Amino acid sequence: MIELRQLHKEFGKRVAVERLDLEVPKGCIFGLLGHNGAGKSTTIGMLLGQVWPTSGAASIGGFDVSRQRGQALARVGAIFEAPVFYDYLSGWRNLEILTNYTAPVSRQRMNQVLASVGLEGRSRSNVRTYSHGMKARLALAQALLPYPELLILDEPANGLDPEGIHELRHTIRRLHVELDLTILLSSHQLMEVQQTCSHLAVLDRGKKVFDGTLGDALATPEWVRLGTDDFGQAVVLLQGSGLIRDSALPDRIALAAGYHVSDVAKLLVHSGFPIHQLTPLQATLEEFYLGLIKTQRDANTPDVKSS
Amino acid sequence: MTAISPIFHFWRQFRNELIKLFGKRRTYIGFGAFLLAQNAVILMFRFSHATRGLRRQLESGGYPVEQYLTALTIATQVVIPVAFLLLPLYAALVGGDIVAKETEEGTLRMVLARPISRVRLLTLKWLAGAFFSLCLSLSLGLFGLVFAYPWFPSGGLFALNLGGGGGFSVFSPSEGLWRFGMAHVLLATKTITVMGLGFSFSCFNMKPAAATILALTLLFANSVLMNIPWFSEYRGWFITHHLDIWEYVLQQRVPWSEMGESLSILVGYNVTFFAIGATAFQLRDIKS
Repeated sequence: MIELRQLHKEFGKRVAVERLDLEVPKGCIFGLLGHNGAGKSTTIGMLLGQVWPTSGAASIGGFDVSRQRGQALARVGAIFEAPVFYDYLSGWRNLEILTNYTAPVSRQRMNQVLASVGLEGRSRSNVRTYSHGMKARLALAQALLPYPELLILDEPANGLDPEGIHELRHTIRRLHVELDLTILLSSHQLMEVQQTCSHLAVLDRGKKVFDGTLGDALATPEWVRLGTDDFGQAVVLLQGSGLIRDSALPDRIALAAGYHVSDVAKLLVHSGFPIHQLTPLQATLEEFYLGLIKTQRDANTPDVKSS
Repeated sequence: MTAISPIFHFWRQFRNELIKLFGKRRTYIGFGAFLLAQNAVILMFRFSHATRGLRRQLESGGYPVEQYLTALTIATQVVIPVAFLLLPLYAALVGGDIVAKETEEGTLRMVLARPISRVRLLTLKWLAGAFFSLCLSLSLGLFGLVFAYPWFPSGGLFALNLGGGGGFSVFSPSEGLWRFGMAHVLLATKTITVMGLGFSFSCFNMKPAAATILALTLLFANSVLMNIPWFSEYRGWFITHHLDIWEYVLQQRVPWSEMGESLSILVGYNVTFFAIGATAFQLRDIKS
């Protein structure tokens, strides 16, 4: 559905997005993760033809966004953080105006979409009288009006209260199933992404540092809870053998790539360590994300000792 | 989605821009200011000795004062200060707002997430601005007449020749009304050009107020330079020299060739302003 090929953007001397390759398969909910300034909004800007890439190409549904913007965006709905409207006009009038930039839709369709987001009773009121949550629902309505196949959500949960975030998450899942939408969700709210997305990519300072399924993300690194009499000595032994790459007090170890729990068990038993517990842990997206970013930063930091 | 003809689609999008423009309260500041300024000047003419100069000129020319010191004449007199001061101010204000305000408020990002080209969007916005400018110019004439009639009698038109050469012109009631109407239609060329200048700056990455101030500064600088004797030979190069073609139609003999020349130069300026604005807008990144 979305294909980014060596997409690169520089603002002056600052690289905002660095040679990004990304594919968003049709029919998935794809999370684009990254801290503030990681390049998520710039990537979405380039995807919508609002920001010109320095080099590379972005395409939606096979249409190049720079050269065939009209066709590429014909079936795309987008929502940005802090939804903004012509607040001196009614919600209905705002929808009419925005949808006319794509193609007019019938009144019946407008009513249907307004009902689906729960705004049917307030559509004739000025937007300035709307709460933040109502504006978020109006934003969703304008995105859904042109019968989209792809929904691009740029930090949609920003400014919403916990109830609003829960409602948004539920709505995204419902739309994905009911309308068979492909959804690109940019966010730095890890819980939102973990509970919503099937695929994700992580950006750090403009670079893609992970791209895969949620399952892949949660499977690496493999954290294990180890219960033994002397945890410190066990860690020294395991690190010396290269079986683990990290540890955390009081009882956690991270397996090095290619090793399994059974390898740890074998070595510890062989070395005479009693094992009370050896349980693989399901990583959270937060652990995965923070670990990934830490690894990237460590790799990019010059070694003080060696210098 | 409903299938409609391209022309009807364009019309609906143009109507959108009009709704956005005329839905804002600040769009009406200019109309409100005209109401106040015109009433003030008309009342000054009615209740002070301000008409003394007009009377003297009519009497020296042998024209009966009661036939020419009319609502039409006063409405024309009122246009002069408003057209020189207020009209450019409000045209630049709306022109400077038209793109920059949407960028500042963030609605432009919503619009440009739609499959509409930037040039088409700018064309729609410029046309809406031009329509506003026409309304503003015509309202100036209409308000003048409506407010002058309760205080002054109907009759012919006496107009001072402002476009150089001095003197004055007199017209019968019917021709006077026609000339008055034409003057306001032509005044729209000035309003549109000033709006277009503000619009052009508005397309760059700047605040709406900055676009308005830049447009007014450029006009002011043009006006000052044009009136410096050293530049007298080059007056034709200054945009302000061509802005007041509405005055030509109030002369006894309309200088059609000069008017045509100025009009074509104004068209050229407008095309240039639009092209500069559109190029800048096309090249820039639209970010939150």
